[in-house]
This record gives sequence, C-alpha cells and structure tokens, in this order.
Amino acid sequence: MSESTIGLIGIAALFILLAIRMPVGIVMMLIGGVGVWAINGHKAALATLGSEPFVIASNFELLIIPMFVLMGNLASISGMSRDLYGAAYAWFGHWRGGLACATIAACAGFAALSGSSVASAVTMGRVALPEMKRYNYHPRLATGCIAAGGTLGILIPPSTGFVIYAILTEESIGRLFLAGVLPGVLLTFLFMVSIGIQTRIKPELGPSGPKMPMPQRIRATGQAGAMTGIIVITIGGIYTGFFTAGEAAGVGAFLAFCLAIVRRSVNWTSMSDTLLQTVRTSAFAFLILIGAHVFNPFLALTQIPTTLSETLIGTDFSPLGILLILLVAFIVLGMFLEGFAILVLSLPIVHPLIIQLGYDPIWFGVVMVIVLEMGLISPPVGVNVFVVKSIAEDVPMSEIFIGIIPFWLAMVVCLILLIAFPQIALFLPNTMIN
Amino acid sequence: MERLVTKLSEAVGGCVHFLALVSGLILMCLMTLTVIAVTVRKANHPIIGAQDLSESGLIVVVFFAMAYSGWTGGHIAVDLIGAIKGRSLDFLDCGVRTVCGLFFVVVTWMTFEHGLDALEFGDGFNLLPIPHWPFYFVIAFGSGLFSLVLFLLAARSAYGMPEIKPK
Repeated sequence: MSESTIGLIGIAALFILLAIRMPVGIVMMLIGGVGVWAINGHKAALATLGSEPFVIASNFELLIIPMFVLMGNLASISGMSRDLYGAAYAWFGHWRGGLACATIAACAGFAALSGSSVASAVTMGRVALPEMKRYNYHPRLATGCIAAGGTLGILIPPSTGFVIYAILTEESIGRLFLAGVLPGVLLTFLFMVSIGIQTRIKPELGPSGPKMPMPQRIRATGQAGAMTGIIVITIGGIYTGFFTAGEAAGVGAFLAFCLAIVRRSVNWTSMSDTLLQTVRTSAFAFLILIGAHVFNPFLALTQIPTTLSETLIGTDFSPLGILLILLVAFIVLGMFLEGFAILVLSLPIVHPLIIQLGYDPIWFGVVMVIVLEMGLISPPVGVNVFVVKSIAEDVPMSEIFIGIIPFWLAMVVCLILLIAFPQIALFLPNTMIN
Repeated sequence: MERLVTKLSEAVGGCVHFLALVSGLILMCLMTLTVIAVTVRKANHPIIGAQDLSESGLIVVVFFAMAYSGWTGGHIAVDLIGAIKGRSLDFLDCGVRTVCGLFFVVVTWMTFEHGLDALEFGDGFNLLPIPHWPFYFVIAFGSGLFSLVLFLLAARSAYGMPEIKPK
C-alpha cells in the first residue's frame, strides 16, 4: 500500500472518529501513531508517542497559554467586565442601538484580556443581556451582538488561536498578536456599523438609552482605567520588545491577580474555581497540541500536503482564486467542526501551500482566525450561539441565528478589506521594535 | 457493580480535583517566577535557569490537570451525529472512551519507558542540574490517571450515569 493511500485512509478514519465524539486531541494522537506505525514501523510510532508529550509540555513558549487563560479568568472575577461595559455604556448608551454598540466595545476590551471567545461571550453576556432586556432591545439584536462580539476574543490579542497557529507554523507569537490588533479594531467598528444600519432600518430593534452627563462618563471611563493599564502594559510591552509574548502573559496575569486582590474579589472559593477553570482549559489545549505534533509528522510522511500543493498550484487558478477556494472551504468546515480542530487539522496541508503562493503567513493567520470566528457563530455547531442560548434561555435558537446574520456579513466585509489591504494586519508587526 | 462505579467516581473525582488544584498553585508560582525573572533581568541580574524551572513546572501543570479536564468534559469533541441519543449514545460513548483509555495506557507505558531511558542516560535541562526523568514519570502518572478516568467514564456511560460537570 502506498504512503498516500495510508494517508487517505488515515484522514477518513480521523473524520469517522471525530464524528463518533472522540476528543480531537486523542483522535490526532491515535491516527498519527497508527499511521506512523503503518509507514515507519512500531518502534518509530511508540517513540513518537513517548516523546511528544514531554516535548510539547516542556515548551517554554507554550507557557503563554495557561498564563493568558489565567489573566482572562482573573479579569472575569475581578469585575473588570462590568467596568468595561459601564464605560462603553456611558459613551454609547444614548445612541440608537447604543447598548449593543457598548456590548461590542466591551467585548473588544475584554478580548484584550482574554484569549477565549467563549469566555468573552459568557462574561459580557451576563453583564449586557439584562441591561438590553431592561431597555426593550429586540432579543435578536441583543443575543446576536453578544455572540458576534464574543468572537473578538480570538482575534484581539491575547488569542489562543494565534498561539496554536504560531506553534504549528513556527511563526512568531508576538508578531501574530500584533497582527490581530488592527483587524480586531476594524471588525469592532464594522460590528458597530452593522448595528447602526440595523437600527436605522428598524429603530425598534434597539431603542436609545438615557444620556449620561460628562462627569459621569469620565468617572465610568476612569473605573475601566486599571483594565486599560493592563492591556497597554501587555500589548505595549510586546510591541516595544520590552517583554516576549510569554513574559507579557505572566506579567498580565500577575497584574490581573493584584487588581483582583485590591478589589477584594479574591477568596479561596473564587480563586480555586479560577485555577481549576484555567488548568482545565490549558490541559485541553495541550492535548490538542500534542495530538497535532503526533499527527503532522504522519501527514508529512504520506506526502499528501506536498501533492495537494503541487496539484492546486498546477491548476489554472490564480493565487487569489486558490485563497478564495480555501476560505470558502474553511467557512463550510466551520459550520460542522470546532475552530481549533480545523486549525490543527488543516494547517499542515494549507500552510506550505500559502507560502508557495507567496502570501504572508502572519497575514494568513489573521485571515484564518477571522474565518474560524465565522464558524463560531455559524449553524449548526456555532459554539458562541449555544453559549448565548445558555444565558438567554427564553430566546429561540432560530432568533439568535437570524440576529447573527448582519454580524456575519460584517466579518465577510472585514475579510474582503484584509485581502485587499494586507497592511491592515501587517503594519504593526512590520513596525514592531526588537 | 454500579455502586462500585459510584464509589470509584467519588474517589477518583476527589483525586483529580486535588491534583488540578496543585496544578493551579504551581501555575501561580510560575506566574510569580516570570514576573521576578523579568524584573531582575531588566536590572541586569537575570535568574540563571528561570526558563528551566518554567519548563519543568509547565509539565506538572499540564499533566496534573489532564485527568481533571477529561473528568469534567474539558477535552473538546465534535458532535457530528446529532441523531444518536439516549442509551445508544451512552453505549457509543462507552465504546469510544474505552478505546481512548486503552490508547492512553500505551501512552503511559511509552512515557514511562522514556523516563527509564532518561534516567539511564542522565538527560537533563539546559542550565540547572534538573534531570528529565522525574518529569517523564509525572507525564506517565498524569496519562495513567487520565486513562483510569476514561475507563471510569466509559463505565458511567454504560450504566447511564450523568456526565460530570465542572463546578
């Protein structure tokens, strides 16, 4: 049996095992292990299974994952999400659809503290949904903006999506983080424009809230100052070369911890819950990475990535055409597979192709993360939609999905702008110091 | 038998919860170490071997939490076959978890073997005289516990017991 045939059987088996609910990380380890066994013998397979867990779990760069998860969780318990929402509410609340805009702005701010879309959606949803309900916002707009706003968590740094992309493609985590900043701001703006258009067409979707006097706005902004300080120190530290991305994560987590202590939101129960949640999330991310590092060598042995690259480049499609085909494929995959699964399964095949087509891998990382974000809110397995549904139990799923459509279209516009103007993503990493 | 599974669930649940807490506390130590290392490095007095400490600590953080993550359903799975429900789903989960448990027995065995090799050849971290072998054994222990958790979850699925959720 040829190596390519073994590879194709392996990929088919992978999808079957994923379909019967085997955890993604274990599936990749299992298929990778069996595949290497079939091609290179059992000694090579068993050696890979015995060594990769140590190699990945002792990778200093990966300390960034638990640190940033810890920072986000500490930010949650210290009430920073409420401060953020309060500040955004003070400035935008009196606009038509202003509470939804405030939610998006607060989600963007929280995304700068948390690398997880689900955490952003849950945290901001709990704060913003009751307020929007109080001001008679249409459930469609209220739930749609939270689900979409939450997705900013994996675009605006720190982002676990970028860390996994960086590790699998050997790109710089710091450069990827900086590449996510301007597209994150752009997408936040586009989400707000989308709310503006929706409420102009149907004003009853998002009535205006009361206008706050200037001193109250300044006070509300000041209350979010500590959080802004942490964001400036961590992201600014990476940009200026003062810290590595990993060090920034440790410092950010430490500052969030100090702030939680100052605010007296830390007690044994809240802290143990935070730690448990942090290590639980980190362990799953590491299992996926270990799986990817067992699976990817198998895929390389089968020659499938090289053959596929050569075949696609040999077609009459232009690089842009191939890129668009890939993006459409990712959008469709995002409707059925979890974002991390798509990332780890497709990168070994897609990354060499992108390099050969002459695209910047840092830019492609940003594009790919936006596509994964679209998957997070696409039916039938849009994770963020289920998260929002768990908070807004009385709103039907169909209503939430309809509410998401304008935000999904905003993401498409963002993608088009990024493809047309790659500098939106590349400006900050290219001007990064050190 | 069902009572045994319940009793074992209580014991294993307590054990993985405790280890996850230890993992979290070590993570807090690593956070503090990072801050101190950055601060003193900026003062031109870098801590020699801070990276070695972080790397070895990270192994403990990850593998002490691996079983807890599995126990509380933290390892993501993709639900593509929505049509299977009820007892059929329980039996499917039972089979899948048993296979995963058996696979992690192999991982446990191989990491243990690598630990023995590291002990024999004296492998260690770069700057500090910390040997690799205890950390291979930590990985073997974490993987073994994860394997046990997977078998127990398989048994719980077979008896139709509810999924365990994090607090």
